[in-house]
Amino acid sequence: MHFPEELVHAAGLQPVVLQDSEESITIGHNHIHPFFCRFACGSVDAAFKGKLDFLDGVIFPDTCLQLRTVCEILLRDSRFAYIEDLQFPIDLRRPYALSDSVEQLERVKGNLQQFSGCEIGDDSLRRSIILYNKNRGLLRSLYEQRRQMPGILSAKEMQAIVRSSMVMSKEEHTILLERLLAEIDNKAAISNGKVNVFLSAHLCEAVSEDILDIIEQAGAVVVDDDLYSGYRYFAVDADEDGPPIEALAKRYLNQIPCPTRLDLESDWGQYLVSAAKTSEAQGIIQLVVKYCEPHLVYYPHLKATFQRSGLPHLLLETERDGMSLGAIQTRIQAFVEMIEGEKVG
Amino acid sequence: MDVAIVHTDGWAAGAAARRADRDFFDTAEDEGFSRDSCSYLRMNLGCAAIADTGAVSNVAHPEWVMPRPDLAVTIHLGCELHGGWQQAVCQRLGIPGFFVDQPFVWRESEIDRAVAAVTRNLRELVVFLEKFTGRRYNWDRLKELVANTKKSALLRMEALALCRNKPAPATYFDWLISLAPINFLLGMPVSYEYFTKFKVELEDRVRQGVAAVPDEKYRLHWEGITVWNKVGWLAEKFASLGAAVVSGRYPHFGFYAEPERIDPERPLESLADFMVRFHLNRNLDWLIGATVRMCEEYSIDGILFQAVRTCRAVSHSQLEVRDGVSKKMSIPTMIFDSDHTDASYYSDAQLDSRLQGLLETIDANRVRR
Repeated sequence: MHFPEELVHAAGLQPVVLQDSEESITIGHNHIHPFFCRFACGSVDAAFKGKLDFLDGVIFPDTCLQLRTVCEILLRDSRFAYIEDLQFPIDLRRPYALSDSVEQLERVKGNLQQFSGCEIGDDSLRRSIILYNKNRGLLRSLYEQRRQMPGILSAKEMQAIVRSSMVMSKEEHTILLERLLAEIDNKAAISNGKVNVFLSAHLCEAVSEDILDIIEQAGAVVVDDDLYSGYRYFAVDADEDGPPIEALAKRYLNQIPCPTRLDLESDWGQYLVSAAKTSEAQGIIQLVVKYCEPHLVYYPHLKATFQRSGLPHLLLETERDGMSLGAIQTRIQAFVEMIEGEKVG
Repeated sequence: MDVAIVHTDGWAAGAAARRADRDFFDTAEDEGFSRDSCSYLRMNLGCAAIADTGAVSNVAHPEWVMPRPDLAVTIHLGCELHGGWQQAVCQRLGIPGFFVDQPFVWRESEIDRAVAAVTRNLRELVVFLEKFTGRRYNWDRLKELVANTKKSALLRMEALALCRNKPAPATYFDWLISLAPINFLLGMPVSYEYFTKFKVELEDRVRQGVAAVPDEKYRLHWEGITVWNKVGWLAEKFASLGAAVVSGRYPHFGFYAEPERIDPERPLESLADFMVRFHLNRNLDWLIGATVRMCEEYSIDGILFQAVRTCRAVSHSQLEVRDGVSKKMSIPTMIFDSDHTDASYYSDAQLDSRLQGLLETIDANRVRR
């Protein structure tokens, strides 16, 4: 689940979506148990090693218990001048979900104004929304290009493009994206004979580039995804008309199904089956971060849905240290060969 | 509403305590649930699958299989996973559900606002129940139940406080067993009867100097839940070492720990107040302060931190609590790994060696003083 960065941007601040740390976790485990997800442990570890000292403040969308833990630890540590927890409602379909979300955003807006010394008026927030929508629209265009011409960008390249949007100036990234889209028309697809796969989830963290390489080296091409460092980031726009805070709240309520939220009117499994069909994916690789409890709890329903639909799927659990890439390679290879066999058969 | 309910957490605890957990875990694993996820949830979803498929006769303990529910109601209570739990149950069984959301208390100044929000959410639940059952809500019955809860909870807290005496007349393990009357039998007259008798028995023990642990040598605080599969066994283990676990987070901070706040004439507000102030929903400063107070009131010599492997709602702040408490009190602590119902995470050897170390440290500190 992503925080509405427009709110920070409109305060004249640079929002940076915190990325997962690649370092081994050491002093972090003085503060957080090792059976918490890598992103939670890594963020705490990075903070206490001083790697996050470039940040003036940290805002947590109250995604899950584990990220709330990180917020609690950093609050107690008091190293950041500004720490915020945005408590959006978990149940997206209650009548008060919109008003509660608006209330929370108004509260954070007030605190951001105080911290930055800059008023966040409707006009400035609307301008930020327009800019972010433009960036999201360009990323969606890039994804559509990839659906039409699988392999036009490698999975690693695509993830890097999305991640760069998360950490750099949105103005600058938008210009670069426009240039890329103009150049990419001239590139050729390189997916002949490859198995089309859809990558799903890997919440709160980027997928290891080693794994993305393994997938492509096994004879697969990634045609689409709903990754955290992928389509999830830019799938939905905020309304550019009407009250901008309400627009951000509505955007929150209408995201791609997320297992950290409760939404009995939507079905992540059906969403994935439908998205895979649209992108002509022949299989789904469900990427679960070890100890990501919301995803682990939702997974059985996904499994049952994929089985009913006949869509081949592979569950891959990734972990921070000691992950056996050899074993992962074997499993991905077998998955791709199984689909290839079905194609021939 | 005269709706029959089963509280899934309490059910899981009871089933594990009666060693009826295995089939539920195995079924959950077959469904695709990871061992890294909450073991209460896994047992519940395993049971849901058994109830749904009707495979009750294949289960070793069919008396513990819950009937297939018509409805699932979940409350947040400081654990965000409850939303996912609701989603999983409703999707698996194809039944409707209602989730009572609540804000986490980051600052004490936010409590009143949070209580107002949760009261509103509980009113929504009432409307939902009326629609689902086709019956008018019985507010008088709710007031009666809340009044009974207050009476039972007041008695329970008074009885708990008797364990401040040296030697303690009851231990943590007795209080774990006594959770059933304040949980499953909540609001019923039999709950009040139970705690009346229990308190009288404890008062007698205090008068006569009868200790729960003969030759009480160490007084310990248990930060965590317990290992439900091993309650009796752990009680014997600690007693054999002269160690009385006289207080603990789970029974002391949960289960209507502030009954004086309950106003039966304002039942929804009272329930909302309980939910917001629940220990899983409180910030670190509160938790550290509450633990320090408990250690002072109960004359604690040492603290066990049970790193509950699949309950991150309880274990999430433990290392910070340990640090915070140790900065305010010079009492030794130890951490051991286990889980509340998944016994595969428990290692007797680990607990033995770490408990021994804790008790030796207490002895050494006493000599130094």
